[in-house]
Amino acid sequence: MRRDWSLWAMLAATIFLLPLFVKSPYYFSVLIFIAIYGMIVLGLTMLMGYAGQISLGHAAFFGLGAYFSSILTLHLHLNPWLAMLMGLVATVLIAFLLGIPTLKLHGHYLAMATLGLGIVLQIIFKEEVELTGGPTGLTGIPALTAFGITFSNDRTFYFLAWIFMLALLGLSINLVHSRTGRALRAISQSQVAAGTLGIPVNRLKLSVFALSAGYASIAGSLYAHYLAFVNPTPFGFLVSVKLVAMVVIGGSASLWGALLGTTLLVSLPEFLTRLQDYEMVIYGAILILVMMFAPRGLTGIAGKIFELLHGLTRGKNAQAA
Amino acid sequence: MLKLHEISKSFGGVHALEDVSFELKRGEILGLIGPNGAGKTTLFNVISGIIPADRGRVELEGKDISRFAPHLIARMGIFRTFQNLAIFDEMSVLENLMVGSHLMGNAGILAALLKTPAERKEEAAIRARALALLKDIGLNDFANQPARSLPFGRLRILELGRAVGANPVILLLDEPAAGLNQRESEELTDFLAKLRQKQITMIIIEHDMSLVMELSDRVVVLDQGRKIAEGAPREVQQNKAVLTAYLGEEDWVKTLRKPHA
Repeated sequence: MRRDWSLWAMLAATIFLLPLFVKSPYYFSVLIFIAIYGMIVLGLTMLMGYAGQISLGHAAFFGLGAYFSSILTLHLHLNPWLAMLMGLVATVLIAFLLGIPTLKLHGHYLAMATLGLGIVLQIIFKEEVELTGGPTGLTGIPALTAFGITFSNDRTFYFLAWIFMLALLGLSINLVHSRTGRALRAISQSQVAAGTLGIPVNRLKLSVFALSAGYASIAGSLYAHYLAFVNPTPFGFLVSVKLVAMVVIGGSASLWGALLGTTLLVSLPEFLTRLQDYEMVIYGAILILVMMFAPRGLTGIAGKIFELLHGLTRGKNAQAA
Repeated sequence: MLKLHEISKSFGGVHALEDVSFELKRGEILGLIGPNGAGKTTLFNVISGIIPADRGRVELEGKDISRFAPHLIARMGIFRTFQNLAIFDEMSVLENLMVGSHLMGNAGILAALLKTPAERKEEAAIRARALALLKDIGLNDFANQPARSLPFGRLRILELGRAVGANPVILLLDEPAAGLNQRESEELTDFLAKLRQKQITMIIIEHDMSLVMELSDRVVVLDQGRKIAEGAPREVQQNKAVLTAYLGEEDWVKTLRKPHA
């Protein structure tokens, strides 16, 4: 717990000092995307690593947040913050409605249900032209403002996105180290044992699922206001898979892994997009390799190296003694 | 306080349990014995809500709890251990005990996210209770080790401690002595005797007859899903049907017959 908070403080310090060294708007935009995807991956990590469930439709919740914010501000001229909040509530509600029947079943029904939701929403985003602008999307989404600041350029939005990211990370640290967080880890290791100790397994899985959808929705709203433009592509199935890959590569049982996996996969595509159609093949291959050789992801590998070094120094000390 | 009324359960064509009825009195320790495959563990699974019975009722203080989900059974105060252990391997020993005290808290997911003062207070109480328990079961030195690093005997004790930490009204123990060496087995008997002093009602499934005979107030014998005998340990030892059920399992017959086993 204390370790997590000191890491958090270090991250926060880095974020606020970084603009002293980084000047190019391009890097700011990469860092903004790391924050935005990082929020989704954070929620997904709690769902996958702690509650042991898989969602293949988190890009859809991301899209819900983005479209709710866009539609409510453009068509109804609502305050962007209010729109964001309404989008959040609506997305969480949709997640609940989807989760209630599916999480009662054992096995990976949630993966299928979320996959289905993703496909349905993708169709809605594309076909409800009057509402969503169809495949071309919506433009002219107003910028967020607060305390007299308009978050319209990369530099200002960088701070806003990371303040959200740090806040959600803080909340997640709290959760992971709470009674509920423990209960979630218990569920991922043995549902039966967790149940017999009084943990409401289904209800808790549902809550975390809804929570993770909420994180994605917030990320979506920020995304829409950052780019001032939304279209259906970034909310499709492939992005959902990419998000799962970020969780798995980072190490699904660690919040820091979430951040690591996101950073890696957001900065990689610069190289990967050149491979175009092979992009998904590479993600798939990475996923398989990680599952086979490093099921605890990058954080697991880091932990192993640490243990190894620790063992080596201990071994030396023992020899010296 | 706990009443089983004609519990039946079959898997495919196999009758795992057939019309099993008995009653458990407050503060009583009931030994549940029978040859392998008699349906003992299935009965525990039915009582703890893991598998619903096909027919019959489980009543706690007159309340029908047959259709309750496992976590609601736990809320009623019925906790259990597992024959094959159900330890959370990747958690520390202390955390395992803290999960056992899950029901000491009420804070929901929002309180956990915001770490509200109420949530902090709960968490502190749970930790204090787990630490006290850790001492009781003699695992102080292992508090922060991952549970998977503990030897089997200690895991048994840990699992038992976890269930006890939940403040059980009724405790169901599925072969608590299985896999323990002589010394561990004696420690277990002492620990169970302490629980008995605390008036915790228990059902114990056990193959170690000396342990059953020493601790039980009453014994129920199952064979092929049916109750074939019930009574004081002494009476059951002499029961013809019981001896027949165990026929071919020489060692058991011997221990059953031993007058002061």
